[in-house]
Amino acid sequence: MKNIQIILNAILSQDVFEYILIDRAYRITDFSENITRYFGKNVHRDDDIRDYLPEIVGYEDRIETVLEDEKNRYVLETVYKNDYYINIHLEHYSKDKVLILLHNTTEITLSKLELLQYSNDNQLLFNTIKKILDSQDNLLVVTSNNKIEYANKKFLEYFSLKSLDELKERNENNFSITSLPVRSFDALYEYAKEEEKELTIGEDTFLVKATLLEKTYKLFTFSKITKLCDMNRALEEKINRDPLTGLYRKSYFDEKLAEALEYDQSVTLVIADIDNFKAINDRYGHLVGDKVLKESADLIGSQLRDNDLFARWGGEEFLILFKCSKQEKIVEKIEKIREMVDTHVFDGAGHLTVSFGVATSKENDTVYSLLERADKALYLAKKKGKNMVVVG
Amino acid sequence: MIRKKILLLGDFNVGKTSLIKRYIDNTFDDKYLTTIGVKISKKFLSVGSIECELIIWDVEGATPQKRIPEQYLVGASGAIIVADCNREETMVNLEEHIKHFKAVNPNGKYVVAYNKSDLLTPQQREHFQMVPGGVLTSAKKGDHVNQLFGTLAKEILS
Ligand SMILES: Nc1nc2c(ncn2[C@@H]2O[C@H](COP(=O)(O)OP(=O)(O)OP(=O)(O)O)[C@@H](O)[C@H]2O)c(=O)[nH]1
Ligand SMILES: [Mg+2]
Repeated sequence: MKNIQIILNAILSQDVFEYILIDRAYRITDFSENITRYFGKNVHRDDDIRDYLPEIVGYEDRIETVLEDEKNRYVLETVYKNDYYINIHLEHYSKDKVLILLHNTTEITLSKLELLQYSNDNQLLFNTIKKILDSQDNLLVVTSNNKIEYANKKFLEYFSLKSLDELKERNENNFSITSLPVRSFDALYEYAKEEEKELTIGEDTFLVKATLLEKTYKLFTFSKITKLCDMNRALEEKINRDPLTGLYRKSYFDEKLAEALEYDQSVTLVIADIDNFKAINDRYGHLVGDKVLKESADLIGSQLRDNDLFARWGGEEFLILFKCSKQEKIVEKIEKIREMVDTHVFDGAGHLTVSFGVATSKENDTVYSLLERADKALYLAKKKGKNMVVVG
Repeated sequence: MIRKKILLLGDFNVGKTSLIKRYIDNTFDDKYLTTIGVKISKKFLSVGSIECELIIWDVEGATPQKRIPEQYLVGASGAIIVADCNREETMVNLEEHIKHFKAVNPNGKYVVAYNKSDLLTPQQREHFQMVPGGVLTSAKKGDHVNQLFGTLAKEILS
Protein backbone atom coordinates (compact mmCIF):
# COMPACT_ATOMS: atom_id res chain seq x y z
CA MET A 1 0.00 0.00 0.00
CA LYS A 2 2.75 2.41 0.88
CA ASN A 3 4.59 1.66 -2.35
CA ILE A 4 1.62 2.55 -4.36
CA GLN A 5 1.30 5.82 -2.53
CA ILE A 6 4.85 6.67 -3.50
CA ILE A 7 4.18 5.86 -7.10
CA LEU A 8 1.09 7.96 -7.02
CA ASN A 9 2.92 10.87 -5.49
CA ALA A 10 5.51 10.61 -8.21
CA ILE A 11 2.83 10.78 -10.85
CA LEU A 12 1.12 13.62 -9.10
CA SER A 13 4.31 15.63 -8.68
CA GLN A 14 4.27 16.07 -12.46
CA ASP A 15 0.89 17.59 -11.99
CA VAL A 16 -0.62 15.47 -14.67
CA PHE A 17 -2.94 13.16 -12.84
CA GLU A 18 -5.51 13.38 -10.11
CA TYR A 19 -6.67 10.13 -8.60
CA ILE A 20 -9.52 8.48 -6.77
CA LEU A 21 -9.56 5.03 -5.20
CA ILE A 22 -12.82 3.16 -5.03
CA ASP A 23 -13.87 -0.16 -3.57
CA ARG A 24 -16.06 -2.91 -5.00
CA ALA A 25 -19.17 -1.11 -3.84
CA TYR A 26 -18.18 2.05 -5.76
CA ARG A 27 -17.39 3.87 -2.49
CA ILE A 28 -14.62 6.42 -2.54
CA THR A 29 -11.80 5.38 -0.21
CA ASP A 30 -9.11 7.88 -1.11
CA PHE A 31 -8.51 10.80 -3.48
CA SER A 32 -6.03 13.54 -4.37
CA GLU A 33 -6.82 17.01 -3.22
CA ASN A 34 -7.21 18.76 -6.55
CA ILE A 35 -9.75 16.29 -7.79
CA THR A 36 -12.56 18.63 -6.78
CA ARG A 37 -11.82 21.01 -9.64
CA TYR A 38 -13.25 18.48 -12.06
CA PHE A 39 -16.45 18.04 -10.09
CA GLY A 40 -17.17 21.56 -8.94
CA LYS A 41 -17.93 20.27 -5.45
CA ASN A 42 -16.13 18.72 -2.51
CA VAL A 43 -15.50 15.01 -2.50
CA HIS A 44 -16.13 12.87 0.58
CA ARG A 45 -14.92 9.43 1.51
CA ASP A 46 -17.61 6.74 1.38
CA ASP A 47 -19.61 8.67 -1.20
CA ASP A 48 -20.71 6.76 -4.29
CA ILE A 49 -18.25 7.54 -7.08
CA ARG A 50 -21.10 7.51 -9.61
CA ASP A 51 -22.49 10.69 -8.07
CA TYR A 52 -19.27 12.41 -9.16
CA LEU A 53 -18.38 10.37 -12.19
CA PRO A 54 -21.58 9.22 -13.88
CA GLU A 55 -19.27 8.45 -16.80
CA ILE A 56 -18.51 5.06 -15.28
CA VAL A 57 -22.15 3.99 -15.28
CA GLY A 58 -22.23 1.20 -17.82
CA TYR A 59 -18.62 0.28 -17.14
CA GLU A 60 -19.47 -2.09 -14.28
CA ASP A 61 -18.36 -5.17 -16.22
CA ARG A 62 -15.07 -3.57 -17.05
CA ILE A 63 -14.46 -2.47 -13.47
CA GLU A 64 -15.03 -6.08 -12.50
CA THR A 65 -12.30 -7.22 -14.87
CA VAL A 66 -9.94 -4.51 -13.64
CA LEU A 67 -10.36 -5.76 -10.07
CA GLU A 68 -9.62 -9.30 -11.19
CA ASP A 69 -6.49 -8.73 -13.20
CA GLU A 70 -3.84 -6.06 -12.84
CA LYS A 71 -3.14 -6.17 -16.56
CA ASN A 72 -6.59 -4.85 -17.37
CA ARG A 73 -6.99 -1.15 -17.79
CA TYR A 74 -9.39 1.08 -19.65
CA VAL A 75 -9.19 4.64 -20.81
CA LEU A 76 -12.09 6.89 -21.62
CA GLU A 77 -10.80 9.82 -23.63
CA THR A 78 -11.82 13.44 -23.95
CA VAL A 79 -14.57 13.75 -21.39
CA TYR A 80 -15.82 17.29 -20.80
CA LYS A 81 -16.22 18.01 -17.09
CA ASN A 82 -16.63 21.33 -15.35
CA ASP A 83 -14.80 23.28 -18.10
CA TYR A 84 -11.99 20.74 -18.32
CA TYR A 85 -11.32 18.00 -20.81
CA ILE A 86 -10.00 14.89 -19.13
CA ASN A 87 -9.04 11.32 -19.91
CA ILE A 88 -10.36 8.84 -17.35
CA HIS A 89 -8.18 5.79 -16.68
CA LEU A 90 -9.47 2.74 -14.83
CA GLU A 91 -6.52 0.82 -13.36
CA HIS A 92 -6.07 -2.21 -11.18
CA TYR A 93 -4.97 -1.18 -7.69
CA SER A 94 -5.68 -4.28 -5.65
CA LYS A 95 -8.14 -7.15 -5.49
CA ASP A 96 -10.69 -4.84 -3.85
CA LYS A 97 -9.79 -1.47 -5.21
CA VAL A 98 -9.82 0.29 -8.51
CA LEU A 99 -7.66 3.31 -9.16
CA ILE A 100 -9.24 6.03 -11.23
CA LEU A 101 -6.79 8.48 -12.74
CA LEU A 102 -8.00 11.71 -14.24
CA HIS A 103 -5.64 13.17 -16.81
CA ASN A 104 -6.08 16.80 -17.73
CA THR A 105 -5.98 17.21 -21.52
CA THR A 106 -7.75 20.56 -21.76
CA GLU A 107 -5.05 22.44 -23.59
CA ILE A 108 -4.47 19.98 -26.38
CA THR A 109 -8.17 19.23 -26.69
CA LEU A 110 -9.02 22.90 -27.13
CA SER A 111 -6.67 23.18 -30.06
CA LYS A 112 -8.12 19.98 -31.50
CA LEU A 113 -11.58 21.44 -31.00
CA GLU A 114 -10.65 24.52 -32.95
CA LEU A 115 -9.50 22.38 -35.83
CA LEU A 116 -12.61 20.21 -35.66
CA GLN A 117 -14.90 23.25 -35.64
CA TYR A 118 -13.06 24.62 -38.65
CA SER A 119 -13.26 21.37 -40.55
CA ASN A 120 -16.94 20.78 -39.73
CA ASP A 121 -17.88 24.31 -40.78
CA ASN A 122 -15.98 23.84 -44.01
CA GLN A 123 -17.50 20.46 -44.61
CA LEU A 124 -20.97 22.01 -44.37
CA LEU A 125 -19.99 24.78 -46.74
CA PHE A 126 -18.35 22.29 -49.08
CA ASN A 127 -21.48 20.13 -49.14
CA THR A 128 -23.56 23.16 -50.04
CA ILE A 129 -21.21 24.26 -52.80
CA LYS A 130 -21.10 20.73 -54.14
CA LYS A 131 -24.87 20.68 -54.35
CA ILE A 132 -24.86 24.00 -56.18
CA LEU A 133 -22.30 22.71 -58.66
CA ASP A 134 -24.21 19.47 -59.14
CA SER A 135 -27.42 21.34 -59.83
CA GLN A 136 -25.84 23.14 -62.79
CA ASP A 137 -26.58 22.10 -66.33
CA ASN A 138 -23.04 22.82 -67.46
CA LEU A 139 -20.09 20.48 -67.08
CA LEU A 140 -17.91 21.84 -64.30
CA VAL A 141 -14.51 20.67 -63.22
CA VAL A 142 -12.01 22.08 -60.74
CA THR A 143 -8.40 21.14 -61.22
CA SER A 144 -5.21 21.67 -59.34
CA ASN A 145 -1.89 21.12 -61.08
CA ASN A 146 -3.60 19.46 -64.00
CA LYS A 147 -5.40 16.99 -61.77
CA ILE A 148 -9.13 16.92 -61.17
CA GLU A 149 -10.09 18.00 -57.66
CA TYR A 150 -13.81 18.16 -58.20
CA ALA A 151 -16.11 17.39 -61.09
CA ASN A 152 -19.82 17.97 -60.94
CA LYS A 153 -22.47 15.35 -61.64
CA LYS A 154 -22.99 16.50 -65.22
CA PHE A 155 -19.29 16.17 -65.94
CA LEU A 156 -19.12 12.65 -64.53
CA GLU A 157 -22.25 11.65 -66.42
CA TYR A 158 -20.98 13.07 -69.67
CA PHE A 159 -17.75 11.10 -69.51
CA SER A 160 -19.51 8.01 -68.09
CA LEU A 161 -17.62 8.10 -64.81
CA LYS A 162 -19.27 6.43 -61.86
CA SER A 163 -17.90 8.65 -59.16
CA LEU A 164 -15.38 11.32 -58.44
CA ASP A 165 -13.35 8.78 -56.49
CA GLU A 166 -13.05 6.61 -59.54
CA LEU A 167 -11.60 9.58 -61.32
CA LYS A 168 -9.26 10.45 -58.50
CA GLU A 169 -8.07 6.89 -58.05
CA ARG A 170 -6.61 7.01 -61.51
CA ASN A 171 -4.16 9.49 -60.25
CA GLU A 172 -1.86 9.24 -63.18
CA ASN A 173 -3.10 11.33 -65.99
CA ASN A 174 -6.77 11.43 -65.11
CA PHE A 175 -6.99 14.02 -67.80
CA SER A 176 -6.86 11.54 -70.64
CA ILE A 177 -9.94 9.56 -69.63
CA THR A 178 -12.05 12.60 -70.17
CA SER A 179 -11.30 12.32 -73.90
CA LEU A 180 -10.90 16.06 -74.13
CA PRO A 181 -9.18 17.02 -77.38
CA VAL A 182 -6.42 19.01 -75.68
CA ARG A 183 -3.10 18.08 -74.14
CA SER A 184 -3.78 19.03 -70.54
CA PHE A 185 -5.98 21.18 -68.38
CA ASP A 186 -3.24 23.76 -68.25
CA ALA A 187 -3.22 23.88 -72.04
CA LEU A 188 -6.99 24.21 -71.99
CA TYR A 189 -6.62 27.04 -69.49
CA GLU A 190 -4.34 28.94 -71.84
CA TYR A 191 -6.87 28.42 -74.61
CA ALA A 192 -9.94 29.61 -72.76
CA LYS A 193 -8.76 31.95 -70.01
CA GLU A 194 -9.49 35.18 -71.85
CA GLU A 195 -12.92 34.43 -73.22
CA GLU A 196 -15.34 31.62 -73.97
CA LYS A 197 -14.00 29.40 -76.72
CA GLU A 198 -15.52 26.64 -78.77
CA LEU A 199 -14.39 23.10 -78.15
CA THR A 200 -15.63 19.98 -79.88
CA ILE A 201 -15.79 16.75 -77.95
CA GLY A 202 -16.96 13.88 -80.09
CA GLU A 203 -20.15 15.07 -81.76
CA ASP A 204 -20.84 17.85 -79.30
CA THR A 205 -19.68 21.39 -79.35
CA PHE A 206 -19.09 23.22 -76.11
CA LEU A 207 -18.28 26.73 -75.09
CA VAL A 208 -15.47 26.38 -72.61
CA LYS A 209 -14.37 29.01 -70.12
CA ALA A 210 -11.46 28.75 -67.74
CA THR A 211 -11.27 30.70 -64.50
CA LEU A 212 -8.38 30.86 -62.08
CA LEU A 213 -9.68 30.28 -58.56
CA GLU A 214 -6.46 30.22 -56.56
CA LYS A 215 -2.87 29.92 -57.61
CA THR A 216 -3.20 26.31 -58.67
CA TYR A 217 -6.96 25.81 -58.71
CA LYS A 218 -8.79 26.30 -61.95
CA LEU A 219 -12.44 26.08 -62.81
CA PHE A 220 -13.52 24.92 -66.25
CA THR A 221 -17.07 25.43 -67.45
CA PHE A 222 -18.31 23.56 -70.48
CA SER A 223 -21.66 24.66 -71.81
CA LYS A 224 -23.03 22.57 -74.61
CA ILE A 225 -24.09 24.56 -77.62
CA THR A 226 -25.13 21.71 -79.89
CA LYS A 227 -28.22 21.71 -77.77
CA LEU A 228 -29.02 25.20 -78.93
CA CYS A 229 -28.47 24.12 -82.54
CA ASP A 230 -30.82 21.20 -81.97
CA MET A 231 -33.40 23.58 -80.67
CA ASN A 232 -33.00 25.86 -83.65
CA ARG A 233 -33.29 22.89 -85.92
CA ALA A 234 -36.49 21.80 -84.21
CA LEU A 235 -37.90 25.27 -84.55
CA GLU A 236 -36.91 25.46 -88.19
CA GLU A 237 -38.56 22.13 -88.86
CA LYS A 238 -41.74 23.43 -87.33
CA ILE A 239 -41.70 26.55 -89.49
CA ASN A 240 -40.97 24.60 -92.66
CA ARG A 241 -43.61 21.97 -92.25
CA ASP A 242 -47.27 21.84 -93.11
CA PRO A 243 -49.18 21.13 -89.88
CA LEU A 244 -51.82 18.87 -91.43
CA THR A 245 -49.65 16.39 -93.29
CA GLY A 246 -46.30 17.05 -91.61
CA LEU A 247 -44.78 17.48 -95.07
CA TYR A 248 -42.47 20.33 -96.05
CA ARG A 249 -44.06 23.53 -97.26
CA LYS A 250 -43.73 24.73 -100.85
CA SER A 251 -41.42 27.58 -99.88
CA TYR A 252 -38.91 25.21 -98.30
CA PHE A 253 -39.19 22.87 -101.27
CA ASP A 254 -38.47 25.71 -103.70
CA GLU A 255 -35.45 26.71 -101.69
CA LYS A 256 -34.01 23.18 -101.79
CA LEU A 257 -34.85 22.76 -105.46
CA ALA A 258 -33.14 26.05 -106.31
CA GLU A 259 -30.05 24.94 -104.35
CA ALA A 260 -29.91 21.66 -106.22
CA LEU A 261 -30.22 23.36 -109.59
CA GLU A 262 -27.63 25.93 -108.67
CA TYR A 263 -25.12 23.18 -107.87
CA ASP A 264 -25.98 21.46 -111.15
CA GLN A 265 -27.37 18.37 -109.52
CA SER A 266 -29.65 16.49 -111.79
CA VAL A 267 -32.98 15.98 -110.17
CA THR A 268 -36.37 14.59 -111.01
CA LEU A 269 -39.47 16.43 -109.98
CA VAL A 270 -42.85 14.81 -109.51
CA ILE A 271 -46.17 16.57 -108.95
CA ALA A 272 -48.96 14.43 -107.59
CA ASP A 273 -52.59 15.52 -107.56
CA ILE A 274 -55.49 13.68 -105.99
CA ASP A 275 -58.14 13.10 -108.61
CA ASN A 276 -61.57 14.63 -108.04
CA PHE A 277 -60.62 15.90 -104.63
CA LYS A 278 -63.25 18.62 -104.73
CA ALA A 279 -65.96 15.98 -105.05
CA ILE A 280 -64.64 14.21 -101.94
CA ASN A 281 -64.82 17.45 -99.98
CA ASP A 282 -68.29 18.17 -101.25
CA ARG A 283 -69.57 14.69 -100.61
CA TYR A 284 -67.99 13.80 -97.26
CA GLY A 285 -67.11 17.20 -95.82
CA HIS A 286 -63.80 18.89 -95.06
CA LEU A 287 -62.92 16.71 -92.08
CA VAL A 288 -62.85 13.63 -94.28
CA GLY A 289 -61.05 15.68 -96.92
CA ASP A 290 -58.33 16.49 -94.43
CA LYS A 291 -58.09 12.85 -93.42
CA VAL A 292 -57.71 11.83 -97.04
CA LEU A 293 -54.89 14.33 -97.52
CA LYS A 294 -53.09 13.01 -94.47
CA GLU A 295 -53.59 9.40 -95.47
CA SER A 296 -52.39 10.04 -99.02
CA ALA A 297 -49.31 11.80 -97.73
CA ASP A 298 -48.55 8.87 -95.40
CA LEU A 299 -49.12 6.35 -98.14
CA ILE A 300 -46.88 8.07 -100.66
CA GLY A 301 -44.30 8.95 -97.99
CA SER A 302 -44.04 5.30 -96.93
CA GLN A 303 -42.50 4.51 -100.35
CA LEU A 304 -39.92 7.32 -100.29
CA ARG A 305 -36.43 7.37 -98.85
CA ASP A 306 -35.03 9.92 -96.38
CA ASN A 307 -33.13 11.52 -99.21
CA ASP A 308 -36.23 12.28 -101.23
CA LEU A 309 -37.83 15.63 -100.49
CA PHE A 310 -41.59 15.43 -100.09
CA ALA A 311 -43.75 18.57 -99.80
CA ARG A 312 -47.33 19.75 -99.98
CA TRP A 313 -48.20 22.37 -102.61
CA GLY A 314 -51.31 23.73 -100.97
CA GLY A 315 -54.68 22.10 -101.74
CA GLU A 316 -54.47 18.49 -102.86
CA GLU A 317 -51.14 18.72 -104.69
CA PHE A 318 -47.88 17.17 -103.57
CA LEU A 319 -44.30 17.64 -104.74
CA ILE A 320 -41.54 15.06 -104.67
CA LEU A 321 -37.91 15.83 -105.48
CA PHE A 322 -35.61 12.92 -106.28
CA LYS A 323 -31.92 13.75 -106.34
CA CYS A 324 -31.48 11.32 -109.18
CA SER A 325 -31.86 11.55 -112.95
CA LYS A 326 -32.51 7.90 -113.74
CA GLN A 327 -35.98 8.68 -114.95
CA GLU A 328 -37.11 5.14 -115.77
CA LYS A 329 -36.40 4.00 -112.24
CA ILE A 330 -38.33 6.87 -110.77
CA VAL A 331 -41.25 6.38 -113.10
CA GLU A 332 -41.28 2.73 -112.07
CA LYS A 333 -41.47 3.75 -108.46
CA ILE A 334 -44.19 6.33 -109.05
CA GLU A 335 -46.16 3.77 -111.03
CA LYS A 336 -46.01 1.49 -107.98
CA ILE A 337 -47.24 4.29 -105.76
CA ARG A 338 -50.08 5.03 -108.15
CA GLU A 339 -51.13 1.40 -108.02
CA MET A 340 -50.94 1.36 -104.24
CA VAL A 341 -53.27 4.33 -103.96
CA ASP A 342 -55.60 2.81 -106.49
CA THR A 343 -56.02 -0.34 -104.39
CA HIS A 344 -56.12 1.39 -101.03
CA VAL A 345 -59.35 1.87 -99.09
CA PHE A 346 -59.39 5.37 -97.60
CA ASP A 347 -60.97 5.91 -94.23
CA GLY A 348 -64.39 7.48 -94.81
CA ALA A 349 -63.84 8.04 -98.54
CA GLY A 350 -63.17 4.54 -99.89
CA HIS A 351 -61.53 4.40 -103.31
CA LEU A 352 -59.64 7.26 -104.95
CA THR A 353 -56.81 7.84 -107.38
CA VAL A 354 -53.87 10.15 -107.98
CA SER A 355 -52.35 11.55 -111.16
CA PHE A 356 -48.64 12.25 -111.56
CA GLY A 357 -46.55 14.57 -113.73
CA VAL A 358 -42.82 13.87 -113.96
CA ALA A 359 -39.95 16.08 -115.23
CA THR A 360 -36.20 15.62 -115.08
CA SER A 361 -33.91 18.64 -114.95
CA LYS A 362 -31.97 19.85 -117.97
CA GLU A 363 -29.12 22.29 -118.25
CA ASN A 364 -30.14 25.88 -117.43
CA ASP A 365 -33.38 24.76 -115.84
CA THR A 366 -34.82 27.07 -113.20
CA VAL A 367 -37.27 26.24 -110.46
CA TYR A 368 -39.93 27.79 -112.60
CA SER A 369 -39.11 26.04 -115.87
CA LEU A 370 -38.84 22.61 -114.23
CA LEU A 371 -42.08 23.06 -112.33
CA GLU A 372 -43.75 24.21 -115.48
CA ARG A 373 -42.74 21.05 -117.35
CA ALA A 374 -43.91 18.79 -114.57
CA ASP A 375 -47.15 20.71 -114.31
CA LYS A 376 -47.78 20.34 -118.01
CA ALA A 377 -47.22 16.60 -117.72
CA LEU A 378 -49.71 16.48 -114.87
CA TYR A 379 -52.21 18.40 -116.96
CA LEU A 380 -51.82 15.81 -119.70
CA ALA A 381 -52.36 12.99 -117.21
CA LYS A 382 -55.58 14.59 -116.07
CA LYS A 383 -56.71 15.21 -119.60
CA LYS A 384 -55.99 11.62 -120.67
CA GLY A 385 -58.32 10.27 -117.96
CA LYS A 386 -56.51 10.64 -114.59
CA ASN A 387 -54.96 7.89 -112.43
CA MET A 388 -51.78 7.75 -114.51
CA VAL A 389 -48.14 8.84 -114.68
CA VAL A 390 -47.04 11.16 -117.50
CA VAL A 391 -43.45 12.21 -118.18
CA GLY A 392 -42.93 15.75 -119.48
CA MET B 1 -31.75 4.31 -7.78
CA ILE B 2 -31.54 2.90 -11.29
CA ARG B 3 -29.02 4.60 -13.52
CA LYS B 4 -29.18 4.12 -17.25
CA LYS B 5 -26.66 5.27 -19.81
CA ILE B 6 -28.06 6.53 -23.10
CA LEU B 7 -26.21 7.95 -26.12
CA LEU B 8 -26.95 10.53 -28.76
CA LEU B 9 -25.37 9.40 -31.98
CA GLY B 10 -25.39 10.78 -35.50
CA ASP B 11 -23.53 12.88 -38.01
CA PHE B 12 -22.07 16.20 -36.96
CA ASN B 13 -24.36 19.27 -36.91
CA VAL B 14 -27.62 17.32 -36.75
CA GLY B 15 -28.52 18.81 -33.35
CA LYS B 16 -27.52 16.21 -30.75
CA THR B 17 -26.23 18.79 -28.28
CA SER B 18 -29.25 21.01 -28.94
CA LEU B 19 -31.72 18.19 -28.26
CA ILE B 20 -30.09 17.52 -24.88
CA LYS B 21 -30.03 21.21 -24.07
CA ARG B 22 -33.72 21.50 -24.90
CA TYR B 23 -34.54 18.40 -22.85
CA ILE B 24 -32.55 19.39 -19.79
CA ASP B 25 -32.50 23.21 -19.67
CA ASN B 26 -35.38 23.90 -22.06
CA THR B 27 -33.18 26.37 -23.97
CA PHE B 28 -31.83 26.65 -27.50
CA ASP B 29 -28.84 28.34 -29.12
CA ASP B 30 -28.62 29.16 -32.82
CA LYS B 31 -24.84 29.14 -32.86
CA TYR B 32 -23.03 25.99 -33.94
CA LEU B 33 -20.35 24.89 -31.49
CA THR B 34 -19.24 21.43 -32.39
CA THR B 35 -18.76 18.85 -29.66
CA ILE B 36 -15.42 17.16 -29.13
CA GLY B 37 -15.22 13.99 -27.09
CA VAL B 38 -18.20 13.51 -24.81
CA LYS B 39 -20.17 15.47 -22.28
CA ILE B 40 -22.44 13.79 -19.78
CA SER B 41 -25.70 15.22 -18.45
CA LYS B 42 -28.10 13.71 -15.97
CA LYS B 43 -31.86 13.76 -15.78
CA PHE B 44 -34.25 12.27 -13.22
CA LEU B 45 -37.32 10.72 -14.60
CA SER B 46 -40.04 8.39 -13.43
CA VAL B 47 -41.75 5.91 -15.63
CA GLY B 48 -44.78 4.59 -13.77
CA SER B 49 -43.49 3.69 -10.35
CA ILE B 50 -39.88 3.36 -11.49
CA GLU B 51 -37.52 6.22 -10.64
CA CYS B 52 -34.55 6.46 -12.88
CA GLU B 53 -31.56 8.66 -13.55
CA LEU B 54 -30.75 8.96 -17.23
CA ILE B 55 -27.04 9.43 -17.85
CA ILE B 56 -27.13 11.16 -21.21
CA TRP B 57 -23.98 11.02 -23.34
CA ASP B 58 -23.59 13.83 -25.83
CA VAL B 59 -21.12 12.26 -28.21
CA GLU B 60 -19.18 14.17 -30.85
CA GLY B 61 -20.65 13.83 -34.32
CA ALA B 62 -19.29 11.37 -36.80
CA THR B 63 -17.67 12.81 -39.91
CA PRO B 64 -16.77 11.04 -43.13
CA GLN B 65 -13.20 10.82 -41.82
CA LYS B 66 -13.94 9.84 -38.24
CA ARG B 67 -15.97 7.10 -36.58
CA ILE B 68 -17.13 7.29 -32.96
CA PRO B 69 -14.70 5.47 -30.64
CA GLU B 70 -16.17 2.27 -29.28
CA GLN B 71 -15.24 3.16 -25.68
CA TYR B 72 -18.04 5.75 -25.70
CA LEU B 73 -20.66 3.20 -26.68
CA VAL B 74 -19.84 0.58 -24.05
CA GLY B 75 -22.54 -0.16 -21.49
CA ALA B 76 -25.31 1.94 -23.00
CA SER B 77 -28.89 0.79 -22.47
CA GLY B 78 -30.20 2.93 -25.27
CA ALA B 79 -29.46 5.47 -27.95
CA ILE B 80 -31.13 8.29 -29.80
CA ILE B 81 -29.86 8.17 -33.35
CA VAL B 82 -30.18 11.65 -34.84
CA ALA B 83 -30.38 12.88 -38.42
CA ASP B 84 -31.07 16.31 -39.88
CA CYS B 85 -34.32 16.00 -41.81
CA ASN B 86 -33.06 18.60 -44.29
CA ARG B 87 -29.82 16.83 -45.15
CA GLU B 88 -30.23 13.61 -47.08
CA GLU B 89 -26.75 12.29 -46.34
CA THR B 90 -27.33 12.40 -42.57
CA MET B 91 -30.39 10.19 -43.06
CA VAL B 92 -28.51 7.78 -45.29
CA ASN B 93 -25.93 7.42 -42.52
CA LEU B 94 -28.55 6.50 -39.87
CA GLU B 95 -28.20 2.84 -40.68
CA GLU B 96 -24.45 2.94 -40.14
CA HIS B 97 -24.88 4.53 -36.69
CA ILE B 98 -27.54 2.00 -35.70
CA LYS B 99 -25.31 -0.89 -36.76
CA HIS B 100 -22.39 0.50 -34.82
CA PHE B 101 -24.50 0.94 -31.69
CA LYS B 102 -26.06 -2.52 -31.93
CA ALA B 103 -22.68 -4.16 -32.50
CA VAL B 104 -21.48 -2.90 -29.11
CA ASN B 105 -24.84 -3.18 -27.32
CA PRO B 106 -26.82 -6.04 -28.84
CA ASN B 107 -29.65 -5.60 -26.31
CA GLY B 108 -29.66 -1.82 -26.50
CA LYS B 109 -32.84 0.01 -27.50
CA TYR B 110 -32.85 2.92 -29.88
CA VAL B 111 -35.12 5.64 -31.26
CA VAL B 112 -34.49 7.59 -34.46
CA ALA B 113 -34.91 11.37 -34.40
CA TYR B 114 -35.27 13.50 -37.54
CA ASN B 115 -34.33 16.86 -36.11
CA LYS B 116 -34.73 20.47 -37.33
CA SER B 117 -38.32 19.77 -38.36
CA ASP B 118 -39.03 23.49 -37.89
CA LEU B 119 -37.27 24.06 -41.23
CA LEU B 120 -39.79 21.92 -43.12
CA THR B 121 -43.06 23.25 -44.50
CA PRO B 122 -46.23 21.80 -42.94
CA GLN B 123 -46.79 19.78 -46.14
CA GLN B 124 -43.27 18.38 -46.05
CA ARG B 125 -43.75 17.48 -42.39
CA GLU B 126 -46.95 15.66 -43.17
CA HIS B 127 -45.49 13.54 -45.96
CA PHE B 128 -42.10 12.98 -44.38
CA GLN B 129 -40.73 9.45 -44.93
CA MET B 130 -39.27 7.93 -41.76
CA VAL B 131 -38.16 4.56 -40.47
CA PRO B 132 -40.86 2.94 -38.30
CA GLY B 133 -40.91 4.53 -34.87
CA GLY B 134 -39.00 7.59 -36.04
CA VAL B 135 -39.79 10.97 -34.47
CA LEU B 136 -39.71 14.37 -36.18
CA THR B 137 -38.20 16.71 -33.62
CA SER B 138 -37.23 20.34 -33.34
CA ALA B 139 -34.73 21.29 -30.68
CA LYS B 140 -35.37 24.88 -31.68
CA LYS B 141 -39.13 24.82 -31.13
CA GLY B 142 -39.10 22.01 -28.59
CA ASP B 143 -41.40 19.84 -30.68
CA HIS B 144 -41.48 16.18 -29.61
CA VAL B 145 -38.24 16.43 -27.65
CA ASN B 146 -39.67 15.22 -24.33
CA GLN B 147 -41.57 12.55 -26.20
CA LEU B 148 -38.33 11.41 -27.82
CA PHE B 149 -36.46 10.90 -24.54
CA GLY B 150 -39.58 9.56 -22.82
CA THR B 151 -40.15 6.91 -25.47
CA LEU B 152 -36.60 5.67 -25.20
CA ALA B 153 -36.71 5.62 -21.38
CA LYS B 154 -39.91 3.59 -21.45
CA GLU B 155 -38.41 1.10 -23.87
CA ILE B 156 -35.33 0.71 -21.69
CA LEU B 157 -37.23 0.30 -18.44
CA SER B 158 -39.89 -2.06 -19.74
N1 LIG C 1 -33.54 25.22 -37.08
C1 LIG C 1 -33.02 24.34 -36.23
N2 LIG C 1 -31.71 24.37 -35.96
C2 LIG C 1 -31.22 23.48 -35.09
C3 LIG C 1 -32.05 22.52 -34.45
N3 LIG C 1 -31.27 21.77 -33.64
C4 LIG C 1 -30.02 22.24 -33.79
N4 LIG C 1 -29.97 23.28 -34.63
C5 LIG C 1 -28.79 24.05 -35.04
O1 LIG C 1 -27.90 23.19 -35.71
C6 LIG C 1 -26.56 23.45 -35.36
C7 LIG C 1 -25.91 22.21 -34.79
O2 LIG C 1 -26.49 21.87 -33.56
P1 LIG C 1 -25.73 20.99 -32.50
O3 LIG C 1 -26.71 20.65 -31.44
O4 LIG C 1 -24.47 21.64 -32.08
O5 LIG C 1 -25.40 19.71 -33.37
P2 LIG C 1 -24.56 18.43 -32.95
O6 LIG C 1 -25.23 17.26 -33.58
O7 LIG C 1 -24.37 18.39 -31.49
O8 LIG C 1 -23.17 18.71 -33.68
P3 LIG C 1 -21.74 18.05 -33.34
O9 LIG C 1 -21.51 18.19 -31.91
O10 LIG C 1 -20.77 18.80 -34.19
O11 LIG C 1 -21.84 16.61 -33.76
C8 LIG C 1 -26.61 24.61 -34.39
O12 LIG C 1 -26.38 25.80 -35.11
C9 LIG C 1 -28.02 24.57 -33.85
O13 LIG C 1 -28.47 25.86 -33.48
C10 LIG C 1 -33.45 22.54 -34.76
O14 LIG C 1 -34.26 21.77 -34.26
N5 LIG C 1 -33.88 23.47 -35.65
MG1 LIG D 1 -22.73 18.39 -30.31
